[in-house]
This record gives sequence, structure tokens and C-alpha cells, in this order.
Amino acid sequence: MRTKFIAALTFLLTAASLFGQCVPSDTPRECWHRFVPAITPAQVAAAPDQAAAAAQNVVAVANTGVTSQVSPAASTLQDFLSFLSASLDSSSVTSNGTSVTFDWNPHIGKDQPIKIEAVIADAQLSSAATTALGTNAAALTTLKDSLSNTDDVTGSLTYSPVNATFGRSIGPHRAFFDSLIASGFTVAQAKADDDLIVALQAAGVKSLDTRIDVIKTDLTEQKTLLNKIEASAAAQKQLGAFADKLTRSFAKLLNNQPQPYASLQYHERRDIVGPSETAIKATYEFGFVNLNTFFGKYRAICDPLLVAQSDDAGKAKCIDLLEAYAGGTGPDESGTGGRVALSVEYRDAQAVHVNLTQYNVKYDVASGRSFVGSLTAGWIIAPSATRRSGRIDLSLSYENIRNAAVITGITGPPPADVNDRLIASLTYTQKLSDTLSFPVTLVYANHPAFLSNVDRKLNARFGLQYKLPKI
Amino acid sequence: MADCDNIVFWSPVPAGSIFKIKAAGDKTTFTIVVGRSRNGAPKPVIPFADLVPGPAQQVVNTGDRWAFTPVISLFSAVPQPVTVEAWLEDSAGAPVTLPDDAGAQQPLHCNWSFSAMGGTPLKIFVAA
Repeated sequence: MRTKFIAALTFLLTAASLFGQCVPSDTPRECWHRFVPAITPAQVAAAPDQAAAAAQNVVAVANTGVTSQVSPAASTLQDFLSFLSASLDSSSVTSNGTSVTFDWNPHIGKDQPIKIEAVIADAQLSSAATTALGTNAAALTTLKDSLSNTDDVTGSLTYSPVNATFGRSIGPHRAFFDSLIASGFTVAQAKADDDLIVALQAAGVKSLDTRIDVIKTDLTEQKTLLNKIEASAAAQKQLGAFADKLTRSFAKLLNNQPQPYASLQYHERRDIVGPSETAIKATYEFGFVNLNTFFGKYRAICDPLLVAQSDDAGKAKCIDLLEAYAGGTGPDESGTGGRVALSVEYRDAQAVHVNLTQYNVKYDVASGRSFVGSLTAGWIIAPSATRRSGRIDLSLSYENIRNAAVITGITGPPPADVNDRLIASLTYTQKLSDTLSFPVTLVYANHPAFLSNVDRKLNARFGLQYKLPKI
Repeated sequence: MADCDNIVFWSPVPAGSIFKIKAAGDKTTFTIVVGRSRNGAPKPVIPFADLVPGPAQQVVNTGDRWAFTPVISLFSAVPQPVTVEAWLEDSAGAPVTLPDDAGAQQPLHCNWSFSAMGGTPLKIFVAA
């Protein structure tokens, strides 16, 4: 009889453990963690690697389309990785042995960062100059010695606005978001927390790591203490779920906010160092489902200026709308929201005319010019019960490059000059598993010569893409 | 120093002790608010502006039972963790201590770090 009783009691205690209820052999901390998972030492130690690991995991399972390395059907896999993700509010001077960089990030108004950068490089004779001087070692030495710190200087000005309409900083939205989070602090939770403190104090608890059946030997008192811990922990669990869901939904809309970016750069070089160059670059990225579109649709209910701090019911309504509008927050759940990135870049390298009569050297380098524009867009087609997610990628690129040899940043087999090249691609990628995808691509070029191994303006490609597992 | 658990119980602390808390990190990617209640009654939250760079503080008087609930929200994974630090000191600024299980006096001081996207609450009970 006694054996059966002990067995039944053991079963009940085990069952209670499995279903999240505490048992007298728990410590208060263990009981708490049946509801709220602990921060383990391993997780803490790995904290610096979590960002990379999290990103890796997302990319590993997300439908990212095809990569630009294997096809002109470029994907927007890396869209929304901001050009100015860091160092927007500081100034610095750095040196790497061959150049000195001055970096200044002032603000226009309250939250409008601009970035001013000057790079003073260790000037070197250009290949054209060294070729022209040939074996005249004395002249080479004299000219090298004549180079100064001002012979190769680059200055740039970039602007990427951050305010309630543009940019992906939480700053302009913080007051509104924090007020939504604060609505999760309830009177019931405060009461449960205080009941627990009172119970722990009354029991003389000084450490949360003492077993409850050691703290209290009386079964009724044990149960009372367990109930207090469970009530507080359950409230904390509820708050955690609320905060996490709200944060992820808000993050999804925030990270889809429009992000304009403009940059002007001037590279001044002495004629024997290389051509001086002017560059202008502008990009614009946005997701169709973002905070602007949310507030546009629900302005009357969720305007941050209209929702009173004390209006918890109004905030709850907003939170419901916001979470529903954001949809799922997994890597394949962008819902109907797509993303678009536009980019244009113009570079102009001036002609160089060198006439060093004392060394009997004279040469000219023609000017160069490039215009590169691109449009990429991606849409996730949400998975259904019978089908994994799909993804549509649209890519349009235009290039017109003259005398590429003198343009900074242009690489590739010579001649890299391109006259009026337009390539468009449309790709549908069906995910077959977490690592296997099936892309189909239509590619159009305005001149057949721009497409490899075909002689038609339009062609189709398909294949299988496999993401290698992490080693 | 290893991070603390997500539940902390500091009691009994000397009346007049000062609870302090602050957070640090890339301000464009995270926010934090600290809910608080005294003897079961909710009190106004401690806002971000008071916590970063902080510290925000709360005096613990005789008979006070405070429950602090920091909620940290990260809107993207960050390479440099967001850190939260909470501690108790006396009116002279000296650390407040309590004996651990072995009887050795330990300063009441905790750190936490966060780098993954999402919202996470902590719980800190402080009672005189």
C-alpha cells in the first residue's frame, strides 16, 4: 500500500513537472523557470556571437532567391543592409599606415545625420607615369620624393535622413513604442509580484536556491508559497510573450521604412598620381508594408500623438492592429509586403595631361565616365499548408561606361567599357526544403551580346540551388 | 562577470539603500523601459531617457517592497550587445551587500547582455 502511494505521488509530481507546475522539491528559482526560461551560462557566454548566429540561421532557412554571383538574376537578399548602419554620431581620425581618415558625423537638427569623410592617402606614382619614365631611375626617385600628403585626397559627404518617415532607427518612434510596451505592466502583475515578495520575506528566504520543502516543512505552507511563485512567474511569462511579439512586429515594419541615401565624393589627385574623379551615388530602399503605411491606414486610431499615455484600451487596440498588419515575423513571412531598392551612380574621371620636359616625358590619359543604375525588388509568397514559400525577384540594371580603365571601382576583364547595356531579369524561386530551392529565371538584354552563350535577347534559365550546411 | 539570472531577489536591504539601473548600446537598435511597483501598487515607468546613459535611481525606504521589471527590446540582431546594469548602493555611494549561501558578503550588482532581436523582460525584487 505504502509503495503504491509513493509511486502515485511520484507520478503526480513528475506529471506536474512536465506540465509547468512547480513541486515542493523545486527551489523558487527552478519554479520560476518552469514558466520563464532561464538565461543559461552558455547563452551568456555566446552573447557576442548571437547576432551573427541569428542572422546565419535566418539566411539558412529563408527563401533568399538566387545570388548575383551565379546569374544576372540578382536577388534582394541583402537589401535593407544599410550603408550607414554604424558610426553615425561620432567623429574620428584613423590611420592604417597608408592613409589617414577623418570621419565626422554631425547632425542637422535633432536627428538628421550626415557623414563627412576625408581620406588623405599615401600618394603613389600612377602606372602611366612609371611606364612613361621607363628606366629613368633618377627621375622616378625625384618624382616620388616630390609627392606630398595633399597629392591624393578624397572628400565625401553622405546624407541619410532619420526621422519618423525615413530611416530604420527606433529613435523617432521610441516614445510611442515604449508607451505600448508600458501597457503590458498590469495591476494584476504588480499584485502578484508583491504577494511573492511578501511570501518570500515571511518565509525568511534569503536565497532563491533553497528548496521550497526546506524553506517550509508544512505542506499547506509549501503549496501557498508555490502558488505565489507560480502566479508571479505566469504574469512574467505573459509579459514576455507580449513584449516579444510586439517588438518583432514593430521591428518588421521599422525595418521596411524607406531609406534614402545620397553621397557626393570628390577625389583630387596630382596629375602624375592619377585622374581626379567626381562621384555621385544615390539609393532608395523601402518595403511596401512599413510604419508609414501602417499609420496611413490606422492614423485615426493609432496616431502616436493622439493615443493618450493612460489609454491602455486604446493602446491594446493599436497593438492588435499593428501585429495583424505586420503579419508573421518568420524569415519567410513577409506576407504581401515586398521590398524595392533603387540605385544610381555616376562617376566622372578627368583627363590627365602630363608634360615633364626636364625628363623628356609626355603622356595623356583620356577622361572616363560611367553611369550605373539598378532596380531590384523582391516579394515573398507566403507558404501555405501544401506549399513552401516562393519568392519573386525583379532586377533591372543599366550601364554605360567609357574608358573604364580610369574609373575607380570598375573591375572585370578588359575592355570593361560598356555602351548602353540594359539587362532585366525576373526570377521565381520555389523553396523545396530549408536548404533546397528551385529558381526559374527570364533574362532580357537590349543587345544579345550581353548575354553569355546565347544569341537571343530573351532567354530562360532554371536549376537547383542548395545551401551548404554550416561546417 | 557572468550575467545574472532573469529573476533577482535582494532582501532584506538596509532602509535608505538606493537602487540604480542603466543601459547601454546602439540607441538606434534598442529601447528599454522599466516597470515598477511598490508594495503592490504600480508606479510610473522609468523611461529610456533616464536609463541611457543613466543611471536611474530609486530610494528603498523602510517597509518598501519594490518590483522592477525592465523590458529590453531589440529591433535587429546586434554585433555589440546591449547591456543592462543594476545595483544597490548606500547613500554614500558604497555597494550594499548581502551574505551568499556560504555566508560571504556579496555586492548586490547585476549585469545582463542582449544581442538577439526580440523583447525580453527581467524581474528584480528589492525589499527593505
